[in-house]
Parts: sequence; C-alpha cells; structure tokens
Amino acid sequence: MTDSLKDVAKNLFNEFELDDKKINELLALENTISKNRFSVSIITRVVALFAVVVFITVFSVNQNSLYKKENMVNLIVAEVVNNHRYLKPLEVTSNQLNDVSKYFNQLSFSPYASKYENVVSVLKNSLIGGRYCSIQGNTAAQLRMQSSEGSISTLFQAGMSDSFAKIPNIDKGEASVIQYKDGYEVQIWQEKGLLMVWVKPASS
Amino acid sequence: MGLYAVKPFFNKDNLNQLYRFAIALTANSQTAEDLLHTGIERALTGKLSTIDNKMAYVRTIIRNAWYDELRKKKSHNEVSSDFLEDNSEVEINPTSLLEPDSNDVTIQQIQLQRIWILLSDQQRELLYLWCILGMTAAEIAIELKLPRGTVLSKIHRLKAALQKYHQQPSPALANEVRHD
Repeated sequence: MTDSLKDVAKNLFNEFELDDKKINELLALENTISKNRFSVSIITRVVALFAVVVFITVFSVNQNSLYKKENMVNLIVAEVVNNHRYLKPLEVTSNQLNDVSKYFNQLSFSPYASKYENVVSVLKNSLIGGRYCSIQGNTAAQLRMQSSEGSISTLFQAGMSDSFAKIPNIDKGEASVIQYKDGYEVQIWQEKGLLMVWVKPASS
Repeated sequence: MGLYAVKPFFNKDNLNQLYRFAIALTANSQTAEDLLHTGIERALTGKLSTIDNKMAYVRTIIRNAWYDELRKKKSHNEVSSDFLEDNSEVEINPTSLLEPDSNDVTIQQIQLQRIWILLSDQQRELLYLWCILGMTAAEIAIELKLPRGTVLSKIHRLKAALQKYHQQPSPALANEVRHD
C-alpha cells in the first residue's frame, strides 16, 4: 500500500519518541538552568540597581555641592557690589597697608596683600583707606583703592567660615572665580585662610 | 528575561518534535538524544528566553551542534558534500518552480524506511522540515539560510529520486538519491 510522502514520513518520524525518563531529565535540565539564570539575573539586577543608586547619590551630592558653591558666590557678589557701590565713609585713611591693617584690631587676622601681583600693585599704589564691613555675616575688612584716574576698587577680606568652603583656594592651585554684576568685575578666591573679594569697574 | 521566573518553554510535545528533528539529522536514536540534550542545554544558557521563534532557534542550535560534532570527527566534508556545499540549482521545468507538494509523491512506508538510512543528514532534515513541519520552500530557505531556488531544487531532486525509487527499488537507485 502506498501513501503520500507526507503521511508516510509522518508515520516514520512518529515512531521515534523519547521515553518518560529522558523527558523528565530534559524538563529538569530546563528547571535547573532557568533557576540559576533567574538567580544570576536577580543578583545582576540588584548590583545594577545598587550601582544606579550610588551613581545618583554621588551625582546629587556633586550637584548639591556645585549648587551651594554657585549660590554662595552669587550671594557674595551681590553683597560686595552693593557695599562697593555705596561707598560708605572710610574709618581709616592711609596709603600704607601696614597702617590700615593696624586699624583692624578686632579681626582675627591682619589684612594681607595677596599673591596676585595686580592686587599687590593696586594696594601699593592706590590704597586710600579702609573700614569694617561684613560678608554673609562674617566680619570683614574693606580696603578701598582709588587710581590716579579716579577709578575706585575695593578689596574685601574676611576670615574663613564653613559657608565659604566651596570657594576656590589659590593655595591649592585652584583658579579664582570671576563674575560680573551691574558693570563691576568681582573676583573671588580663598588665600592664606581668608576669603578675598576684589571689586572693580568691569572696564578697568 | 523579566524580573520574575520565566515560564518553562519545553514540554513533552515540543521535546519529541525536537528529538525527531535530531533523528532526521543523525539517523540514530542514541546520538539524537545526546544531540537534543546538548541543543537544549545550549539554548537554555543562551538567548532562548528572548527569542520569538523558539523552536526554530533550538533547531538551529541542534543543527549547528551536529555539524560541529561532524567537523570534530573530520567527516564533515564527506557528509556535507551533497547538501551544504552543493547548493547549486538544477534545471527544472517551470511547474517545479511552484510550491512543491509532498502529496505528489507516493511511497510505501517500508520503502521509506529502507531508503531513509541512505539519505544524507541534510536530505533527511529537508524531508523533516518539508513533510513533518509542513514548511514551504520559502520558510525552509529562511531556516537554512539558503536561496529559495536552491531549496526548490533540492526538494525537486529529493522528490524525483524518491519517485524513481518507488518505481524501481534497488540499492543502486538508493545510492543515486544520496549522491544526487
């Protein structure tokens, strides 16, 4: 008796069947491998999740730190520009830094000339006096300079506090921050444990 | 793979289907069992859970495992010479370019059993895909990564040889099927 190739082939192949023992062995194999893969997958996911949490935490801390730094710089800039512009009367007048420094005996530090040569030069040639003030609630010295052309600049110096900790420290090789506000250039940095802020007309 | 345990894919039916596929390749029940075990293990440790057509994926793994095995035994060239490396398209009449029908060929069960062992592994695989799984030439071409014309030619040769054997069953003719 002849049949179609399809039917005959089906009959032929259907003669081959796995016994129950082999079926169970293969099903158990799937169960074992799947469980192992599932465990590995869970561990992988937990590790990945942990890594993401760590990344987000570090990123957030950095962002927060950056925000705090930028926020503090902005606050200082606004405050010193106002102080500078207001030109309150000087409490001590002298063109010698030593004389002016002696006046600030209520400070925990003596006003200092800075590493920046342009600051030193201006102090040396244009100092006219100083007065007490404050920066973000910290008592500070305000040294006023006036050039022969009449251009006035102010160097503020305050003792360090935690709130200034993010300000660049030039003793550590960090660059000072320069910002502009209302036509003034404001340069801010830490030096020798002091907060230094120099305000001058932006065009000078 | 999702966060939760994956539902098992294999069951008695699809394991037997894959076993028969392995039988088609090996023509030996014990070798087929070993090959099936290897294929399933590789599939489960591979990308099975992410594959849509899982059966085709497992068949591919089984097929590759079989030819790897043959290569290791250094008999691959001999075995594959009439299929894998002979992908030429024979001259066939225009009607043969139509989808071949396995019902066109009639044969006795006993005849197929006798000729079965004389077919190459690739010819048995072709028979399995075409007759058992009912794949079209285009589907077989995709599964075997061959041009459809080549698959049509192979089916044409297989049909012709089986017909011829049915009419004149002789060892010489069976040999002709194997080395067409």
